[in-house]
Amino acid sequence: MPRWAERFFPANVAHSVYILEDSIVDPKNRTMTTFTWNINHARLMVVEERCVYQVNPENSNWTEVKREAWVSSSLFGVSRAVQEFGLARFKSNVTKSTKGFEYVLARMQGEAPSKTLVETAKEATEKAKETALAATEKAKDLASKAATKKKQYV
Amino acid sequence: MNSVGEACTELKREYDQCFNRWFAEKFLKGESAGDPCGQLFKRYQLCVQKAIKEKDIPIEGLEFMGPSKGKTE
Repeated sequence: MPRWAERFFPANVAHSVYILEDSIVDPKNRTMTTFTWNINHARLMVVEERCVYQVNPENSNWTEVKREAWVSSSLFGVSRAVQEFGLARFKSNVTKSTKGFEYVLARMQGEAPSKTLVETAKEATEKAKETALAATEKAKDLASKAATKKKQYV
Repeated sequence: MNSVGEACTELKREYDQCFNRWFAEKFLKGESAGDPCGQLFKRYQLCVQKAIKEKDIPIEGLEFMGPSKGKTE
């Protein structure tokens, strides 16, 4: 949890953020889907991420991954700022996680990252950028939905 | 990776090792009969359930594949 967020919570609050991951392996469609999100501090912010791994339709030797994320906050008054913070963090962390991914794959294949892997990583980054943009829109949407909800309570 | 409960990490390691061996050597070769890791899993699961309780991790009401439904596009 970022330092600035601590003042929204009591001093004795747990600093750990617990993450849950569900995954579905679909042997029939040859896909694997993982869904990951935080289960505490949910009032401050929830980040949900979905990754779909599937066979590249143009080259069946490749596996492609589609990564999507949704950032939402229902924190009164600052939900928009929190969502923008979460989104920016997600964008910068995607680069790191792609690097980690590449590292693990290279080790599994017992070689240095091949050109293909680097290209794939680049593509993934581009896709992530697009998705992040989509996430912004979604966040705005969620924010307005949250605002609507609040109005109903008033 | 360590378990969420520090005391469960060793149990997790044993179970993971058993599962990975079974998955690679049996399941992927079409031998799906038998459950050689069931005992190890039970022990590991009990340990994790205890840790979740002790750490007050909010697992009530969690839904499979995430909190907000209807993510299309």
